[in-house]
Amino acid sequence: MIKIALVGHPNVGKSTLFNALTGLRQRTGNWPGKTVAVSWGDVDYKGLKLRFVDLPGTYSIVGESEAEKVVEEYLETGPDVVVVVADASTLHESLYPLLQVLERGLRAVLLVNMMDEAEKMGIEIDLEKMEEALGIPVVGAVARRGEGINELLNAVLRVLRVKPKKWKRRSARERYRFIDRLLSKCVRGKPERREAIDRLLFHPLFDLPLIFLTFLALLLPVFYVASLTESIIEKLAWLEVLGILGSIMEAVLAFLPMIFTFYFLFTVMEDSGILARVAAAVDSYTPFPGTGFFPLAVSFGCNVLGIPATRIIKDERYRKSVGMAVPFILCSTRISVLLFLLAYFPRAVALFLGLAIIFLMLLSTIFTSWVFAGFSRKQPLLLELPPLRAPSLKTVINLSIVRTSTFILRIALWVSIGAILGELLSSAGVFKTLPAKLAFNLFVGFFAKELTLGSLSTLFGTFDLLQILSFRGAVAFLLFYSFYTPCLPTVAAIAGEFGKKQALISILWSLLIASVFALIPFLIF
Amino acid sequence: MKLSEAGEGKYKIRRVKNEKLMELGFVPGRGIEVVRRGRGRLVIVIKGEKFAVAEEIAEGIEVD
Repeated sequence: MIKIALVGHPNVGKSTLFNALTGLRQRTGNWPGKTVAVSWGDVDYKGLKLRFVDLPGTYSIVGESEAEKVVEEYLETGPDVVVVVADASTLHESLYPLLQVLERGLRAVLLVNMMDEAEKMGIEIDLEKMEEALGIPVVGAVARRGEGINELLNAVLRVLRVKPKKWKRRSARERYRFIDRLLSKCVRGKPERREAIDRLLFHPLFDLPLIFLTFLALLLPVFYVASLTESIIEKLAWLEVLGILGSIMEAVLAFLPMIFTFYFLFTVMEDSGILARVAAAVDSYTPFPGTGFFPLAVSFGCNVLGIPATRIIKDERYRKSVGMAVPFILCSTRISVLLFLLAYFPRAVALFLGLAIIFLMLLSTIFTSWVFAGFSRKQPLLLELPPLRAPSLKTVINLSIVRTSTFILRIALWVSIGAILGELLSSAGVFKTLPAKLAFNLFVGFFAKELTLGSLSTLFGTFDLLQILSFRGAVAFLLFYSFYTPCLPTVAAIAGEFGKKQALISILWSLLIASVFALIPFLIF
Repeated sequence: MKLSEAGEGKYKIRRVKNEKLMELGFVPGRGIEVVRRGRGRLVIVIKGEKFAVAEEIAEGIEVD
């Protein structure tokens, strides 16, 4: 088996290339001893088995951050070939890791991706001249259209037959001097940058409304789809006849469209460069570093992922403080459950409550990170803003399908367990009073937030909180449910990352915050 | 002058204190453009690559 590592800056289309190479024949796991994910997939080509390893995107292959350490350690294992992926429109920056790879004496292929975008900008790249100057194969590609894949595979086989030439070690300054000289010979034209959007997004007056609009653009379609799905499910009366099976089917049918919509929009924002801009714009308003936005953004998908993702924050104190704030970000499960439950409220009330919960989420996240950072100053902002580009629809859809299906399988499993557990305990007559039933419902939610939905249906025979509780009680329940404790897998992740004591503090802290929020409806209504 | 004091416009990098910044392309001799500034941050472009940088970091970069 031939081992091929894919390295490169973030946002150069490395994962798109990996998807184009391996399709669905890919697996993902953590690098031993690290929490950074590495994906790999096999390709059979001309009778050979090629294993491609998609390493995390980094600006340097020398370890400072967790991701850089993973790249450095993997390269030390001696892959047969390293494919360095560069963005055709930002070659002056993205060639830097190539020189570091070559200085290590590794066999390398340079893949210049997004050739179409460079062409649109009027940039001409003489790949042959570049190949001649570097002494390694240089391949042009448009990975999102699958162009250049065969040429890359041929180049990999070609470079395997050649002994790598020796490169002297250079300083960062010398490397860039080399790159600038090289590109002055091989590249004509300058990249065009669309500045208007950034001028607006980073305008001191408009940045905050635009951040808010971005969140609305992400959440309102999800809310609309949830409401639409709910109205369709209401017409499927036959589901009620099926008992527990009906509850499971109802929950899965309710989750599927909204989860797909959420992942679709999130991936669009991620791939288009919008998410990075929001992270940088948010930095001025948050007590944690701009990079802290990423673990928090990932946490919208799942809080469990947000905890290891805090490792991109270099300052340990802020890493811990953002880690403690992660459980306050409403994960897609909680968002789905909340949307599902809110759909039973009058539409205007549901919208108001939804926005109020988002506000409390932001408030508790910022407050928690501020408290656990000891009210101190944060690391200054330094973040690359990738070019704004239309994401590849195929990549977005593929990623959304993979993410949604994984999630739905988990939902089906946990909702089943919740429904059966609720049915068993309910039929045993253990929880007869309303407070006992509610306490049990929240207790099972600790194991996985989606369990609440399954047991709610079994214990009360309805998802409509207004049929179970007074209006104030229903709102208090929703507020408490939103923040009351991280789910068990998240607690386990916190314990693994920050220690058991911190995990216990996280539970107690979120119980305290949720209790305070749950009092609000009794004070104002 | 320090980059943190520079208004919107084009400059040349003279000196950089931090080696890690150099790995990102902030190397002396290269051109740098300040696209937008405000709220303690600058949006800058070096050789087509765009960054959002805190004024605090920009203090360690001398331009003219």
